[in-house]
Amino acid sequence: MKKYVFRISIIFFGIPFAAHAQNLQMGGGATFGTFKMQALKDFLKPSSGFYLPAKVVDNFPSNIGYNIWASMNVIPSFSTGLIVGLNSTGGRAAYSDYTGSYTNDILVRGISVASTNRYQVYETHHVKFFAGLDAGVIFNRMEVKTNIVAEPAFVGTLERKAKSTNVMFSPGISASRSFHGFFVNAKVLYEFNSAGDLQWTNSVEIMNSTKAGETVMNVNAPVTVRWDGIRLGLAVGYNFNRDGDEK
Amino acid sequence: MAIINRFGPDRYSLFKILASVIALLLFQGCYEPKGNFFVPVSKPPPEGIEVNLADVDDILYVYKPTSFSYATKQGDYTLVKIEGLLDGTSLFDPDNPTKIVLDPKKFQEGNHVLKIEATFLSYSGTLASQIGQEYETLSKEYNLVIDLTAPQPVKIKKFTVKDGTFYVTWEAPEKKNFTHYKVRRYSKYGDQWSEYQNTSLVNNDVLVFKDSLYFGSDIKYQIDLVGYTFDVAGIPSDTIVKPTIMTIKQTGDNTRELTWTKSPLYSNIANILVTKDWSNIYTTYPNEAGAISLQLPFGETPTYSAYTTSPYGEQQGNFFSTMVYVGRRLEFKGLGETLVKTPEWFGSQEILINFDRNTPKEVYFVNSQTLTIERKIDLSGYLTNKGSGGTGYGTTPDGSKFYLFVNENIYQFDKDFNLIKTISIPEMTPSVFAYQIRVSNPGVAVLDTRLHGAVVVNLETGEIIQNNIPDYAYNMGLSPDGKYYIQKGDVYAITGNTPSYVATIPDAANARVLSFKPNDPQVLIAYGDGTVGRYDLPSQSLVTRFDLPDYRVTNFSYDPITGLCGGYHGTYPDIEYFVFDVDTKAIQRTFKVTGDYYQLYNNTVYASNGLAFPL
Repeated sequence: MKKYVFRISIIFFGIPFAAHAQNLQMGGGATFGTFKMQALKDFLKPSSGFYLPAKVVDNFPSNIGYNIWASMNVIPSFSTGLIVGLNSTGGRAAYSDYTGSYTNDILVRGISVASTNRYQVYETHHVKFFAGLDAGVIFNRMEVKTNIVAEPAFVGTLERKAKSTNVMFSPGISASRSFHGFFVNAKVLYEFNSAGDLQWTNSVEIMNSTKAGETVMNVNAPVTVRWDGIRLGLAVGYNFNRDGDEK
Repeated sequence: MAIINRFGPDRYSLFKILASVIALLLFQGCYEPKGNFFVPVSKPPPEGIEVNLADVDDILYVYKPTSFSYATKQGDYTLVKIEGLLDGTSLFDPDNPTKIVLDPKKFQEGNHVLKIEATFLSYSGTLASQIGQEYETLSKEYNLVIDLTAPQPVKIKKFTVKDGTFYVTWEAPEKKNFTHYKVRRYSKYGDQWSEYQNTSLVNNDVLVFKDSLYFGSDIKYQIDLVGYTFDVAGIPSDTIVKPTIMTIKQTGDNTRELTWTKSPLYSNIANILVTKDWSNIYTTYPNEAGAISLQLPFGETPTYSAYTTSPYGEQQGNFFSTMVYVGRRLEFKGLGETLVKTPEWFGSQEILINFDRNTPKEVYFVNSQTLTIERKIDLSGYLTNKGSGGTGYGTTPDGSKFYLFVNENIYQFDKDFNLIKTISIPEMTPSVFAYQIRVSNPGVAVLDTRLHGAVVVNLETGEIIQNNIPDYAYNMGLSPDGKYYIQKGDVYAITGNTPSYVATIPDAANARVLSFKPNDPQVLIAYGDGTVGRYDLPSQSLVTRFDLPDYRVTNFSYDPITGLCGGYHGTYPDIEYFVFDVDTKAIQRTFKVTGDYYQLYNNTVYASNGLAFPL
């Protein structure tokens, strides 16, 4: 995590000093997206032989992602820059009765680092429309946490972690409106991933029942994180140009 | 400052707020899985669990270490722990958590309250049950009585023979605080009861014992109570069921029939085995009444035994064992097998001499008809200086005197065994083999001595009549009146302790037996060739000498009471004894014998092994 903090710090504190350059823009926003995650959905689903009639109650739903970016105009109608984003989603298989509860949670996070490129295609009433393409890599982190509670006699926890790296690109369109150097940007895009296999990094088991360790998950299966899906984004930024307005 | 200058103060503040919000979202806004799937499973009913004790309302009766546990009739339960409290004292055993053992010895007798808590693991399909954590605990209380006081001894109620086997029934004691009955069986040997080793333990709810190993005869039972802290001896009771009865019946002089009946305990018997003289060679007969015929020469004393075999293994019963013989066996009461022999005639009395090797040690006055001992004379007081010297004894035919020879001393007793006198004649020390010395009524004797061989001596005066006779004394004839002795067929008269030659009996030098008639000066002669003769001393003539047709007399014997003679002929096993009149030559009686040494006296044939055959 420290290296991510370092990287983001570079973005936050380094880019403003570069704002002396002409036509520099910086901003941040949020996206609402869907995620394919089919492999993880299969991974989460309890097998028919599982000793509890557990059920998937949360299955990698759409979620809000966050990003920051900085770009500059290479020519008046085209800008390029860097965008760093964060997406997360998860799933849960669960069972509970009066004797206790079982949850098997998967939390997956992806930090994307990509170049962001926009070409202005149209402008009317101070609203500019762009066609864009982001391309880069996603650093995925996944945590699997199995928790069994049968109070008061038993508490068992099993945690596993894994990581992978995806290559992504996201074509889309956006529109922006400037107000005294600040601007608001709305965009629609679709993200494609070329996913790499997860690599398990560690496992922590705290169990006092051997049966509780009979997890449904097959950790040796090739599992991939796929963030593919539509993104609806809204961002705010600041244009460091000479007159404070976005060009 | 450059940024402030470029943005202006308002814009810079807005930028900081924007940057902070973005950073906060980056680090705080990760997704957390959520949701729950609750299944409303019902708690499993515990009615399938039951205690293995009596009904709750009953009072538990404890008289031995008792285990308490719960059981499940249905459902899927596993007892994982059971804990008991007796009057507040824990009975829990951590080494055996699913079992309570109550040792009544550790508590006082009387009433107690037992509380039992049992914890079960159930498998109702819930999450906890799936991981082996679903428990059900039951708690129950019982009134409990500890009773370690022994009941009254068991009395036997009856003995029953039914369907060929034997049953013992007893009365149950009032209390049942014992674990087993111990069935003890005894058989009788003489007057003594001897316990069988195969004691049986039967449950305390049994009141009948089937004895499949009982073959009959005297038996005694005792039913003991075995409790945790006591053993109570039962009241014994005995009975007798007649076994397979074996009888010996005389069917002829030399034949006997051995018969047996069918036992009322026929189911306990597989076969009957009959064996002779304890031999391993036996004859098997079915378990029915039967008989076998025995050929038995006089003098033989075989022991016939009959065994029953059990259909249940190798168990055998010896229901019959007896010695079979022709005639009477002179086993005197009080002497048993130690002195079964033919008595000597001491006048009208019968005596038995008990020897220690060749030394007469005791004299028994006996009655061979009643087989009783009338008197015992201990001679050991006269034998103290015996050393390794010769000993012997002699009796007068009329029973008036008994002489005991110990080295050179000769002790003279009257018919009542009063010591009359003692004389000492060093030359008369008898030889080792002269233990039975022949004495006439007046005291003239012939005996073998160490120094002078066969001698004739007057025991009344101590005078030696003749010594160094080249013969053995027992080959010599001596008349009961002491007037004659015969040596090698030569007859000598004794007059005033002086021998004088009288005559020579023809061919009698090697005669086997020379017997004087008691009241007549006549000599009966058994010649070496088997003929028999009678010699008259006054006339010095052989009155008769004859050979009975087909009879060659061996072991000639003369009965001084009846005047009859006896002997046998033939070879084993066809040896025949015959009794005849020496005057008429008539055969009075014949029967088979074994070929032993026999003596005819008072119309009875006596064998050396103590058998008597009354004619």
